[in-house]
Amino acid sequence: MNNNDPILNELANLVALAREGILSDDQFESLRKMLHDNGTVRNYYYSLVNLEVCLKESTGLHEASDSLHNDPRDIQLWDVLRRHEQQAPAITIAKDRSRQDAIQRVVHEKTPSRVNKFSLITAVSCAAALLFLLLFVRVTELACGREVVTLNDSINARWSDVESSMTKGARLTVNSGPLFLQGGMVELLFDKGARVVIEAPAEFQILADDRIGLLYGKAYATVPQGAIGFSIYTKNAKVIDLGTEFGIDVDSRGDTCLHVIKGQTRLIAGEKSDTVSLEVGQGTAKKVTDETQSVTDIPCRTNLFVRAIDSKTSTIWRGQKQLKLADYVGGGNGFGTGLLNYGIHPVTGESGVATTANRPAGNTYMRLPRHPFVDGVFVPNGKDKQEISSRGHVFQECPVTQGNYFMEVINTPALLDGQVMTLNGIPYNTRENPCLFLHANIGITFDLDAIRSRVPGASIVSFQSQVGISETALRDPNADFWVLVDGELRYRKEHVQQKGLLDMLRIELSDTDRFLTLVVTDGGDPGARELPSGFIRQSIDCDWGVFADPVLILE
Amino acid sequence: MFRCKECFMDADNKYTYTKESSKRFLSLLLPAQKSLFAYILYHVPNRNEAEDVLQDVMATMLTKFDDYQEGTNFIGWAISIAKYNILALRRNNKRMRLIFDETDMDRFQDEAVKKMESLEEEYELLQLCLKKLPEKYKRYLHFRYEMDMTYRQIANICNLSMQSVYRTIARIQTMLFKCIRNTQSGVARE
Repeated sequence: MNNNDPILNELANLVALAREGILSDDQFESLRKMLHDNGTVRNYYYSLVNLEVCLKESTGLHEASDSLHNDPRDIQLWDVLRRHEQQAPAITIAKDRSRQDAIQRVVHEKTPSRVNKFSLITAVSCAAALLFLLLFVRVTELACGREVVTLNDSINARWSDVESSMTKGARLTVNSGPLFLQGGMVELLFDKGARVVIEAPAEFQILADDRIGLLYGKAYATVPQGAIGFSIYTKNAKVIDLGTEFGIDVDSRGDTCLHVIKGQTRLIAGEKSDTVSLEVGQGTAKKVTDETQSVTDIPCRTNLFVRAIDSKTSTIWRGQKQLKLADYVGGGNGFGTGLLNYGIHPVTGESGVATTANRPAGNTYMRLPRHPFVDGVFVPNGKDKQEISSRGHVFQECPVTQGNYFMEVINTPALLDGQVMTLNGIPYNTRENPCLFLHANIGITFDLDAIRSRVPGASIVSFQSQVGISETALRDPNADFWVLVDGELRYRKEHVQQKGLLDMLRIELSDTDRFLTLVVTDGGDPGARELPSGFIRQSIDCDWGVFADPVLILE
Repeated sequence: MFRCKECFMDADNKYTYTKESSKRFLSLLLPAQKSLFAYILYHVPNRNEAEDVLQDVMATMLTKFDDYQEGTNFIGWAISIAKYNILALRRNNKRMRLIFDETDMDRFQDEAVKKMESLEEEYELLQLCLKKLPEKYKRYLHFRYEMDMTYRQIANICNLSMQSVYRTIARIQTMLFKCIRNTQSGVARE
């Protein structure tokens, strides 16, 4: 055989290419010629094909995927039968009328068995349906375990061997799998409370109501108190949660890397007499090498894993510590996906590009139930009670204003009067340097609970922002700045008449705080007045309130 | 008279099949499916096309099961349908490549059938050889044959080029082929 090794190698390579239809015409002809001309090569060829067929029949090619595995031959057959049943007409055919005429004869003669094709298809389809039902019941009985997990959410998820049930809300049973996620990411919510985000490519299996097997890929587990003991098993390690958040990355070599983001875990690695069991705490990471089963320290990477997803807002949270408040106003998810120069109209509540005009308005609080992160907007006038949240919180200290407004609450305006918003010499007109622009008289309330829900396991600990009137305002301003949390005043600066950076805000927030309100009012200026130059100056003229790089800080 | 002895007319004079014939079909097909697929793969080199052909052939067999004579060579009957379907599909789709033209299909039919007969033995020998295969190679086979991944998908996971992947798989197949042959020789000597 050694003399034929180059031929065998070449044959194997050509066949491998042919399997995916990526043989060139010349290569294909070369393959055909080899097989046509030489019986020994043909024999090798048949043997290689036999080998592939046998490999396809083999199970347990990888140890961790040894459990529940349908006979692949059955799957194709059932698919044929199922399709046959679906395509066949669902009626039965009366017997041939010509035979009824023959009944009138005293003696029947045997007629040739010409079978009506339609009746044949019908008969076969009934048989196929029955057969399919028998087989389906058998498989279902074998495969059904207890339902313990819900596919809670997914972003761009693509599965191999796609089943129609693998959509949001699908229930997974014990011994579901192995499931192969080819693309995107999914969030699994175990009935006991553990939440696992799996990022493709990944292969996994539900092992129990508190356990998942990860053959390869990335998984991030957030485990509440009631679900302590939740575990992720890999081929060479077991990680047991002790009240924590952790991520596991199994690469194509089979090495397992554990990163503990919060709390404690127990890591068990190795086999039998060489088993290692150790506690791995917050901020530390370990690697279990598949080849040697050794456990080594590695740097803990906090942004390696997708910790939470929200398909409605396309949020993919990898543990970023800041959420950009202005981004929400631009229709984004807090991670810079929103549109610039885009905002929310304070009277209609509609989102759109910036529009400018001095306009009067009532002070009705415009609730935004369909906005994922903003509770509402308003034009404060101080004359009537000023509601500032959908829960009825009131801005008690609201000053009297002229009740007019100039433009929407804007995420990072492009230009206003040809000017870029600037504080401390820094222009805030890009995604890297965003700002929330509040031209008096205007207010906006953010729903912190809605924001928290997209970053489970994280606490919003503060709101931070630089604040002031843009240095590029064309004339002298006079504006008031207000920040409230659940209607309680937390920051107040009135009659600001200097342009530029006013303050570095840091407002502490707790898990029970729900609504964050930002307001800019007109400083109490009188209504329209004519200047010596003839210019009609409104009360809100050049009250360019800038919250520069406003962020919510997470822990 | 309707050919199928097990069919009967119900009170409404309608024909129906019993489930017996369906069970019989399945009991004959399942053991033969491996051989049938091997035969198709000998001739249709593209994996996806071969699987489509298999589905097509099984559907035809189901439809024509009434033509099968009980007690005769089931796999022989299946192959005749497979050959017919392969050529018919090729006529409808000129882009489908076949290893052998119709003449060579006939010419090499006997040796192909003989090779199919050794499938079961080779399967058993393969299981022994797989035990000796290093784990890292088994992973490739798992991706390719259990997970049905393409070379490109495997390349993405393993951070390799597609060329490396198919060459590695070809090399693994060659290793297994040699192992099976050596084991066969060893068994023959005994």
